[in-house]
Order: sequence, then structure tokens, then C-alpha cells
Amino acid sequence: MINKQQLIGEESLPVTSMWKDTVRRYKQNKLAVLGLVIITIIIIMCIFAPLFTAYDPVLDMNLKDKLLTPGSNNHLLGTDDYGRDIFSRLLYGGRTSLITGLMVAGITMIIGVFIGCISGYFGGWIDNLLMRIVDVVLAFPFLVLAITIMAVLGPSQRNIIITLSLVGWPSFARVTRGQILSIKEKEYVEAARSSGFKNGRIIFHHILPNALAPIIVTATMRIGSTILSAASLNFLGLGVDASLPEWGVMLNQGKDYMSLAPHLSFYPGLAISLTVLSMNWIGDGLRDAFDPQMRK
Amino acid sequence: MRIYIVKRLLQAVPTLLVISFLIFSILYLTPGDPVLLMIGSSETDSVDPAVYEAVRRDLGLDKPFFVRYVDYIGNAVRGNLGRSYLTNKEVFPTVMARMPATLQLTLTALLVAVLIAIPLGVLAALKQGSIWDNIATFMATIGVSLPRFWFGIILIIFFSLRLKWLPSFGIGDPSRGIVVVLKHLLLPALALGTSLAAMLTRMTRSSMIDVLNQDYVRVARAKGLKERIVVYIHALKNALIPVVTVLGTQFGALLGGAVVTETIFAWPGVGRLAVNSIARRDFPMIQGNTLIICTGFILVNLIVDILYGVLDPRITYKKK
Amino acid sequence: MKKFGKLTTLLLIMLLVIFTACQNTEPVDDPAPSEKVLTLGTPYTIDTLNPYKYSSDGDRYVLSQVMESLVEADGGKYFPLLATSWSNPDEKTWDFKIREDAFWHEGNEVYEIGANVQLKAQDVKDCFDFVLDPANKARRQAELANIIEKVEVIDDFTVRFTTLEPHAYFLQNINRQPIFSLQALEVLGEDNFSFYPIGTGAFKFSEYKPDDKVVLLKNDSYPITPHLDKVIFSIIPDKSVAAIALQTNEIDVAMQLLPTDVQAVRAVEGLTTLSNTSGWYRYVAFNVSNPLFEDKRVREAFSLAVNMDEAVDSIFDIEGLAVRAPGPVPKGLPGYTDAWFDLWEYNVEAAKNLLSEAGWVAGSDGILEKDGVKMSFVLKTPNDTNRSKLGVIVATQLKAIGIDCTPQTQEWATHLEDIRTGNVEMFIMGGGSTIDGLNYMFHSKNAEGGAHNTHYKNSELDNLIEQATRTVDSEAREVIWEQAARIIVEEKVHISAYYEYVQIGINERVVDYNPPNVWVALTSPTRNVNVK
Repeated sequence: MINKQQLIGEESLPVTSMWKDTVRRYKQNKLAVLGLVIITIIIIMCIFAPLFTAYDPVLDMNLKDKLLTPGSNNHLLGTDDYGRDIFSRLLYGGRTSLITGLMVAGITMIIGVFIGCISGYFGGWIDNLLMRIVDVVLAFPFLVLAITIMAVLGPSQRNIIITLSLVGWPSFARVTRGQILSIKEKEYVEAARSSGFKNGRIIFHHILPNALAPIIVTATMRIGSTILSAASLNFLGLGVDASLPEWGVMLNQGKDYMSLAPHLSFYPGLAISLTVLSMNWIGDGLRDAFDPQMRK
Repeated sequence: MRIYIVKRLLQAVPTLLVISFLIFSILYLTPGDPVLLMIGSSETDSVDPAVYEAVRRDLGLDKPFFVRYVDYIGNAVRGNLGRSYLTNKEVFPTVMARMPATLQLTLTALLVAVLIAIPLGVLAALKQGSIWDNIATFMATIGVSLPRFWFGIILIIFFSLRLKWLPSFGIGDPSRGIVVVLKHLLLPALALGTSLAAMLTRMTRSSMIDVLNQDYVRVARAKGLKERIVVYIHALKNALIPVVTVLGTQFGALLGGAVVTETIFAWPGVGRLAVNSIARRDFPMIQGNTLIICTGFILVNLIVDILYGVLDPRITYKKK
Repeated sequence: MKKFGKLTTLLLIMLLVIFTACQNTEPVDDPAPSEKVLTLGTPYTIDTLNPYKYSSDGDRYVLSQVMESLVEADGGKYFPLLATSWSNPDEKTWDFKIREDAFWHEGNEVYEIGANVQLKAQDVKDCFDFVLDPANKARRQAELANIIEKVEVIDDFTVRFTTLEPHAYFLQNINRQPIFSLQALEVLGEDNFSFYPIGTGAFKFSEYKPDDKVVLLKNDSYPITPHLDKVIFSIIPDKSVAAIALQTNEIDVAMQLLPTDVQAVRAVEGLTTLSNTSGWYRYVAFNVSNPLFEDKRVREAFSLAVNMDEAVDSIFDIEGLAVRAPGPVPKGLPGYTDAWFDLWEYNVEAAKNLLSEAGWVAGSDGILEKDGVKMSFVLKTPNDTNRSKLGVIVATQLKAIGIDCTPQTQEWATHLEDIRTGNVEMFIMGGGSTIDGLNYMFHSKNAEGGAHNTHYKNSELDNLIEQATRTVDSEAREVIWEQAARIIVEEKVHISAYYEYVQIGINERVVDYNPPNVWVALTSPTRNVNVK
């Protein structure tokens, strides 16, 4: 495998493994490393939530202690409008939110990139057909689709992931297709084609790596926007369990308390922003590390 | 090119057919009974079975699914999208009457987003790692981390309630002058455009960085061309290709976002109409609304694809 | 690089222009100074302004300004409106004297200015005959046809209604039907008629911009000259935004405030809040046909496990927004008694005992089980802030004793249909807050397929309800209502939650608006609203 890779590689750089190279270049980017560290911390805290907090995010509801300010009565970040500990809800809520965000971003990216590649590379009737499907999905009113899918499948986290994945992939497909369209006319692709490489190889080895930048950017953005879309499903009354902690839901909850108790929405907002920011840095780092042209 | 456009327009027909079928079947599956919602939506109502049946028959809901669909398509082809269950008004003129408000909002949002995003993105790309770059990234992050309804409320609290600069709701009455209209427009457009601006900023930045590292830009620089010309003529034009793609797809998202924004800002547009129709299960209105929006959407994407050709001469739409 | 400087400057200049444009006009909306305008912010969409097909509260707010019914109902009492007086010569006969100065609105396609067309007894009869004819599919057709036998004209200004049976709520039912002009219907055609109401009320319809506003103008020929020149209903779906618009003086009245906005509004000088005169009943209900809840002991145990007092205090932490409900009749309406409080208790231990007595014991996962069936279900709540909060609190308290209850907020249309078709296990709902609410909620004939469908059937309850509607003597009737409601409380069909007093935010420049019943006319024999 490695031999072949070397043979067909369009670069004649030193014989180091591509991955080692990538990791080395990634490490040079401070922000990317910082992003990775933050995300790792967030993930660890969420996974091992019980180690960091004594409160149960659902059952420890103390209506008399509601809307406590951060720091009071052993509540690090205060309590919400039901008297539940915000810190523990953030930790447990991160599990749901991150899984939803990562899953949806992953699924939509895989579907979208695959379809975008095929569409952009082959063109003709395949392109037409696929783009019409994209049009259908993109043009479809999210609200109607969401209400129906949730009603037919029943509300659950899995179904939220399915719903958001079903409506989310076309933007990846279009971005990928746009990239492929402009890359496939380039000389090195022509060269690969005339050397008789199979289409699959050309797409995934020659074209796709050069089209990754906007795809990665879209994907990192998607994690944040997914968490928010899940929140708007809840906002519309299509959510899962109204008592379960989830970042988007917590942000919603704070909407009516913007002036009374701003900390209700501040912390979940911060959590989402921090996650998105770190993901962006990671995305940038990855793109630079992957992209051979960035080598100085 | 002309052939290409005609072809694309013809292709829209099957697309719209599929959409109409999907929406029809989805509405069929959706819980909620339009008849009950029409004649007894309040909490103190009892419903008489005879009235119920009569209304149901009137609306044609007693007919089997396929008969209804074929009827609908038959009428739609002749330009008749039916009448609203609730108001008995014709769907097409009702939706079109709401269009100007929504276009006003979405186009302003688009403009706001582009005006913020492209300069900021280019600046960030040119001065990678600088304070501008950080500001751009920061704003982009905030932009995608705030839900629209939440951000909308924040804007209202700040600009209307605290500063008393701008009105908090509604569309400006054009008879009271352009200033009134603009003042009503600003907050909702900002609320709607922010996440798009965030996305475009990121997109422009990364795409620009990409392009600046391409060989032809290096060559152009090496040839001693002025930096300004390099940036604007060579780099920006190419960098905008993926940005324009995103713009096309995001137009749909803007219309979707308009649903929330219009509800918060009491904006009488198509999105509000959609929300209300869905809440009342006004099937003809939902179908018509969807089809009209889809048509608009397909047109926008066609324009985007044509713009590709303009921006990137390597892409041709010759008939193969 | 220079160009970037230019771009930024351009942007900055644009921002500056926008902000200066904003700053130089302090008051955000200023109508002509001489005009007296009342702007009301309503959260409701207008579906139709058709007087025999209207359904939502939003429609009714507008219609009751433009059209009049025979009598005005306010807090269970009746006042003259189109009828100056009425009598009840025998149990089944009602005579109404119509006022002799009622003229249809002029300056429209139907009645030109100076037409002076008077509303007479014949119009009232025609109007009711129209509504009673099933062919016209009027919304109240079935309801009124069950009550009214015939309508006759005695003389130009006297109309007589004969009811099928003695009916205690005849005036209530008459009050819900505005008197409209059949001539208008004929001239305009139904489609236009539905969006151009013409009546005899104190305000004339001027324009309706869908999802934006309704504008009404003063009717000069109304016997009482309205103080207001113009009434604007601004449709603002988001209640917090309406609260802000009230604080920025863009609207004078916000028809429904969220509990979280009440303090902010009260804190502003010149603004105040008014409490709706009647409380709205909110409850947690069981679908008693579900095997989990067939056993009364289970329902009783649930009611013991929920600390409802604390829940209500927590949702409405400001005095006067809501009070704990001991039963299905709002406080102040006939049938209500404080004695029902004795039938409720918060006692978690007793709840656990009762459940184990009923055969429910904790399984390996801590969740109660009986014969292999888990006590696991969904509590569906409508998508409104207060009620979905109630759902979360109730579910959490039930979870604490091993009941796997998932609170789930759902969109209104789905919720309504789920309740009607029985696709619910436990649900939160509200309503029945009128003087004959028990009839709507619990008479098996109405409950089935209705918005309050608990599947609870009890012929004794049905009999009591029928008896009450037939009893004209109000004291005797009250006793029967109390007995009927007590059955619901004892059987724990509902875990009664609270009576919510909707808070209306209002600018103090609005005079004579109190008591804030938004269904009644702004100018009528009982009040004449003004702005300073």
C-alpha cells in the first residue's frame, strides 16, 4: 500500500508517512493544539461528569433555591429556574449536545461529500439527478419535515440526529461539487486521468484532498449549528425530554430570564461558543496540515 | 448558455413534482386534524360530529389520498394552487402578497452579511494571525453559537428597550417614509443575517488563504504586479467561488431562518404565514407556500450556477 | 492595501448614517397628535373576522369592538348591549327589547354614508335563523340548535326566543353570537364579508393587514361617543417582545405578559399590570382508559407525590399571578369551594405505600413494576412556558419515587389531536374556565373527542351536569355544580394545578380599561376607554 502510494504520489518529498507529516504540521499550529486541548477537556469533563459534580442534573431539583447566582450555596455556576445546579447540567448536557453535534456533522459530511464528488466529477445526467435531489431537500421547509419526522418516528435523541442529518447533507454536497468542478479541470487531474487511473482513485486521491478546506470549515461550523438546531426543535416543542439537560435547551430556558438572571443562558452559550471556537481552530489546523500546498 | 438555462428550467419541473408529492404525503402523515383546528381550536369547544363531517367533505378531505393529489396537481398545473382552508382565500395571491416583506428582510440580511463578511474575511486572510484575524474568528464563532431567536431578543433588548433607537417589532409603514421602513428593517435583518455573516466570513477567509497560496497568485506576485491587483483581480475572484456556492445554499437557510425571525419581530412575511399555516394545518397554504419558495430557491441556485461560469471561466456549460 | 481603508471607512460611514438616522427621532412611533389612538398588542393570529365562523380569541377581540351581541357578559354578570332590557316571562321564553338607536356602520360598500339603516328585531331574527340553519355551517349551529326552538319578532324592537328546555346559560350562549348584517353578507359575498366586518358597535372596521395589524375607527353615530378615535390591534406573536414594545411606548396594552416580564413592566414608571378577572384553570390529567391509570389508587398516589403548592409558587413567584387550584372550577365561578383543599395532600410516604398496595413494586432498575409492566410513560404538555414548566416539575417529582415519567412538550395542534384521539397517557391541559366549563370538560357526550378527553365516564356525573344546565335558580344550580366537581376531585381524574390570572400590561395613560376583560367592547354602556 505504502509503495503504491509513493509511486502514484504527485509529490516526490522525503519518504515519511503522510500521517506523521500531518501530525507534525498540526503540532506547529498553536491555536489548533489549544483547540484540541479545550475540546479534550470538555469531553473528559462530560464523560466523567459524576466525578466533577455531586448534583444530579435532573432529580436534584430544589424549587426553593431557584435562580441562585453563581457561587452561592455550593452551586459553582448557580441554579436555574427549577433550582437545579447549572454546572452539573452543563456537564451532563454536554454529553447529549456533543454527541448530537458530532454525529450529525459526521453523517451529513460523509453523505454530502460522497454525493458532491460523484456529482461534480461525473457531471452529465448523474450530476443533474443528484442536484435535483439536493434541490428538493434544500428547498423543503425544515419545520414541516421536522414536525412530521418527529411525529412519525417519535421524539428521541436518535430521531433528532436522523432528522437533522436528513436535512443537513445538501450544503456539503453543493460545496464539494463546487470545489470539484473547479479542481477537476486542473492539469494534475488531467494528467492523472490520462495516465489511466480509475475514477475512484482520482476523486479520492487527487481531487478531494485539494477540496477539503471549505468542507472542513463547513463541518466545524455544522457542529455548533446542529446544537442550535436541536435547540430550535425544542423551542418549537418537538424536543425529546423537557427535563433532560442539553446545551441548546438550557440556552432556550434562559431566554425569558435575560434580564432577571442572565447567567442562565450565559454559561450554556459559553459552552457552545467554546466548543465551536475550538472546533474551528482544529478545523483550520487540520486543513493546513492536510493541505500539501501549505508546506513552506 | 441559453440552452443550459432552458434545460435547467425544464429540469425544475420534475423537481417541483417530487417536492409536491413529498409534501403532500408528509402532510398526510402529520398528526393534527385541520377540520378540528378550524371548528374547535379553543379550549372550551365541543365539536358536533355532523358539522365536522360537513366541513371535512367541503374541504375534500374525505377523498382518498391519490385522488386528492391528482386533483391538486391537475389544478396546480393550470396555475391554481387552491384555497386556504381557514380563510378561503386563493393561495397563490396570498403567498405572493407576503413575498415583498420576506424579500425585503432576506435580501437586506444577505446584504448585511456580505458587507460584513467579505471585507472581514479578506482582511483576516491577508493578515493571518493578526488582531483582525482574531476578531473575524471570534465574531464568526459568536455568530454561529447564538440561536436566532435568542440573538433577536438580545438585539431588541439592547437597541429598543435600553437605547430606544429602533422599534421593537413590526414592519414599517411605507407611507411614513423610508426612514421608518429602514428603522424597522435593521434589527430583524441583523438578527437574520448574523449567522450567515459568520459562515461567510469563515468561508471567505479560508478560501482566500487557499487561493493566495496557489501558484498563479505566486506567479502574479513574482511578476511584480501590484498587490492590490493581485488580491482583487486574481485572488478574490477565485476565492469567491465557494463563497457564492454557500450563498446559494444559504438562501434557503435564510428563508428558513426568516420563519423564526419573522415570528419574533412580528414581521408579516412568508415565514410567519408558513408557521401559522402549519400550526393550523392549513394544507393548501402549506403546499402552495412550499412550492413557491422552492421555485424561488431553484431559480436562485440556477443564478448561482451561472455565476460560477462568470467567475470561473474554466467551468463551461456546453452541451456534452 | 489602501482599498481596505476605503472599505472600512465606507462601512463606518454607513453605520454612522444609520445610527444618526435612528437617533434624531426620539419617540419611536408618533401618530398625529390630535388623534386619540389606543394600540393593543395581541399574541393571537387573526383567522377570520366572520361573525358566524370565528374561532380564536384574537378574532373575537376585534369582532366585539365592531359588532354587538344582545347582551354583554362580564364575570358571570350580564349587561345590556344591543338589548336594552330582557325578561324571562316563563322558563322557556326570553324577550329582548332592542335599542332604537342602532345603525349599521356606514361608509362601506354596503351602507353608504347617510344610509341610516337601522338594526331592528327582524335583523336579529334573521341573523339567528341564519346561524341555526345547518346549511350555513355556522360554528355555533349545533350548540344553539340544542337550545333554541324558535325566534320570533314581536314588534320592530322586540324579539322573542323560545328555548327547547329551561336553560340556565341561555344568556351566555346568546352573548357568544354577534349580530351581523345579512345584507352585508349578500352584497359582499362570503369571502369579502369574512374580512370586512360591518356591525353596530362603537368602532368601525378600517383595515386588516394580515399578521400585521387591524385598524378600527370611531363610529360617530354610536349613542355613546367613543373617546378613542382609532384602535389598532398590533399582532405580536412573541409575548416578551410585546412586553418590550409596551415599555418603549410602541403599544399601550400588552394583552398577555409572561410571569418573567411582570416585574420589569411594573418597574417602569407610567406602566402597570392588571389581572384578568377570572382565573384560567390548568390541570394535569390522566387518560383513565390507560391500564396504568385505571386504578384510582395509582392516581391518588401520584397526587400525593406531587408537591403542587411548591410547584405553583415556583412557576409564579409573584403574588397574584396564579393561585393553587383545588378542583376543576375556577375560584369565583359558581360551584367552587375551598372545601376541596381537604381532599389534597402532599405525602410522599403515603404515595409509596398506596402504590405498593396497588401492586407496584420497584424492579431491579428502581422503576416500579407490576406483572412485568413498567410504570413508564410520557407526560405530554402544550408548548407554553408555564405549563411546560409544570410538566417538568411534576415529572421530576414522580421520577423521585421510581416512576419513569418523561415530560414532553409538544406543538399545540399535535397536543390537541393526541388528547382528542386518546393518544396520551398523562397530559397537561387547561380550559373549561367559563360558568359552564364542567359541561364541556366532563359530560361524556362533550368529553369524547374533545380537548379535555380523559376517557372518564360516570353517569352520575353526566346526570348532575344535565341537571345543573336545566336549573334556572342560581343557588340551587351552584350546589349541583359543586357536587359534580367534587366527583372529579375525589376520583382524581385531574391533579388540579392552578388558576392562572393572565396579566395585562398597560400604560397608565389608558383610562377606564379596568376590569380588563378584553372580550368586552372598549366603548359600551359599561365603560368608555380613553387615553390621556
